[in-house]
Amino acid sequence: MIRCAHCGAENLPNTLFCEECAKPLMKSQAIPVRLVSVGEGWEIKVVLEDEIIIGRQDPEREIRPHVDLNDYGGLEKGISRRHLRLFRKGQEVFAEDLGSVNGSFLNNRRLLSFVPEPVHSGDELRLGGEVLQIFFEEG
Amino acid sequence: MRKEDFKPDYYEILEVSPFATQEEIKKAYKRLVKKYHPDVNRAAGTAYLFRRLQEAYEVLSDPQQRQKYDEWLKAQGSYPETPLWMEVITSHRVLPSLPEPQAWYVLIKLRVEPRAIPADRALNICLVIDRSTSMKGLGIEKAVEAAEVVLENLREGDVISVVSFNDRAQVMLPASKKLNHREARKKLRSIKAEGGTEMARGISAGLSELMKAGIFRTINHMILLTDGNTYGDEEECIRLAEEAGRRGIPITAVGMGTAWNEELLDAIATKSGGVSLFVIYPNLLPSAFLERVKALRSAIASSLRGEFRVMNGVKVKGLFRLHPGVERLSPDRAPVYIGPVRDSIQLFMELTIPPLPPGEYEIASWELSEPQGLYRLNGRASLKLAEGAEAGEAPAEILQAAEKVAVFKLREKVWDEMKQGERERASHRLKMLAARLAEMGETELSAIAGTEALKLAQTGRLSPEGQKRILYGTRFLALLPPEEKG
Ligand SMILES: [Zn+2]
Repeated sequence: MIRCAHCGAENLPNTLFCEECAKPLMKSQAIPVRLVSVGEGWEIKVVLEDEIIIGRQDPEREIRPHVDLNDYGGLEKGISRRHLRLFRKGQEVFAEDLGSVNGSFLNNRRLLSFVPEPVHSGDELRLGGEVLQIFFEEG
Repeated sequence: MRKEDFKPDYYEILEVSPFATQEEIKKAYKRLVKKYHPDVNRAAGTAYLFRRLQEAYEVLSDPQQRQKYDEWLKAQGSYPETPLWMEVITSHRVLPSLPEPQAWYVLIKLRVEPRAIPADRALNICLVIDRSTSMKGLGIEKAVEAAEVVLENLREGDVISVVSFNDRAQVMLPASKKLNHREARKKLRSIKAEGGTEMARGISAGLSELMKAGIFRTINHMILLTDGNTYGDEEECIRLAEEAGRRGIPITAVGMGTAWNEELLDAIATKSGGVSLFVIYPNLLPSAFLERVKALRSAIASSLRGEFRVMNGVKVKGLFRLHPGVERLSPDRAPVYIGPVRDSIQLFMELTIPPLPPGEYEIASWELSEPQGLYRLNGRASLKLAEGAEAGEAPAEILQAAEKVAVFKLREKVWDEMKQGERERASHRLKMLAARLAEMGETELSAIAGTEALKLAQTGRLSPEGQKRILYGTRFLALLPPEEKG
């Protein structure tokens, strides 16, 4: 049996979601994510556990995205405080625009707000005026 | 042999089925390009494969070129005849051989080749509308408007009938192909809301209208609308739903407002292979009806029936249909009715594997068939058990399905505990459901569940509206948009 870390219930081995509380039981491997600025060449490395929010920090409103683009001219480039969410299902990664003002584009196609789409290593993400190439490996 | 007489199998090169969508072809190409790119892979012959890959993608990614290629394939006799395609995904191909039982999951996806839908496949629809006193006013007005919307969206060859019921049934529009729209409208607008509710009479009259029209090779369907409880004829309703299922006529059971019997509508839907829908305000009825009719247009047959078998000692913990909403099918009652044959059909099976020695096992098998004998598909799922094997991560599609089903089951448990009067436990579990929904980004539904959990702890029940919203909200979770149709 395996024990749910959240509610303590016993579940059969290889159960995917706890029978008592519906939380995921199989902790999956984190995905290393590298974001490379196509225009300016800088890069940011993060680890995708469950989700990554890309945006601009605003301590006053207690908005603290995992990736803060304030230092990279995020304001001038029209990046919203909560702009884009990366999350995963197993080893597959999805991008979701969080209703940003200037929109998010995946390989030059605009993402509908709050409609996640799968992202692959090497894809191009445009957030407002910033173009980022995303890679799922350590560079 | 002329040069154009020889063409390679582009589908095989791209490792996709001839029924693959454009999106799937793109995905497959991206994946294979990485594998065969000469910069990455220097094995002999790779450059050749890479060129072939480019060529295959060039043809298949262009709808016009692809169509020409398909025609060529058909002329060669190598294009599959069946428009139905089944994909089986399991949580693991290999699991360790354990001394204790373990969990295993199977996802069955059905594909319909859109180009294979016969152009002359007509609809045979009956609308069965509640006209009891409670429907008075906006209710009946919008129900009539919804019926009119359906009439306007009929095509040449479609058959429509309309039945209204209170404590008796009345055929407003007998099944017919050629409709005088003005007359029909006049008839519909004459429906008056009055009297009690005896739904079985409506269903029965609806079934005979559908049968009258002849159900062979048409897409048969009943849309049943009610806003309240039926009186004393629940069992008869369920018996009629079973009969509808056997005849290949699914029933979409629409509950309007918050005062109707959800268990009854669910039973009618599952026994007939239909779906139950929740429409809170009358103004939403026309679009709900229209959406159903549009969904039926992409069906190649009225109804699909499934029979499932598992290996001795294996337990089916649950069998679910995932589209359009999550619905529990009972696997021990053979056969189960799954609904119109469309390409969004997804079935999810949760299984318990007993302790077994290492080896390869055929765990489950099934037959999906269409009651009129037009289509038949057989499938199976096998698992390898090996000493000391490590269970890898389940595929994304399995995780998505399992997540939806886990939420569905958690909600089911709340309802069960509530029914047994276990107020505290039910309320606690509803809070867990709220937390889970919040994590999944379903903030609105999570908030409703949170509020209702408090109400439940205090009063032992939920508000009628909250109850319906949670029940249907958790069923119709759209974690990801439905797959793009090719
Ligand atoms: Zn748990």
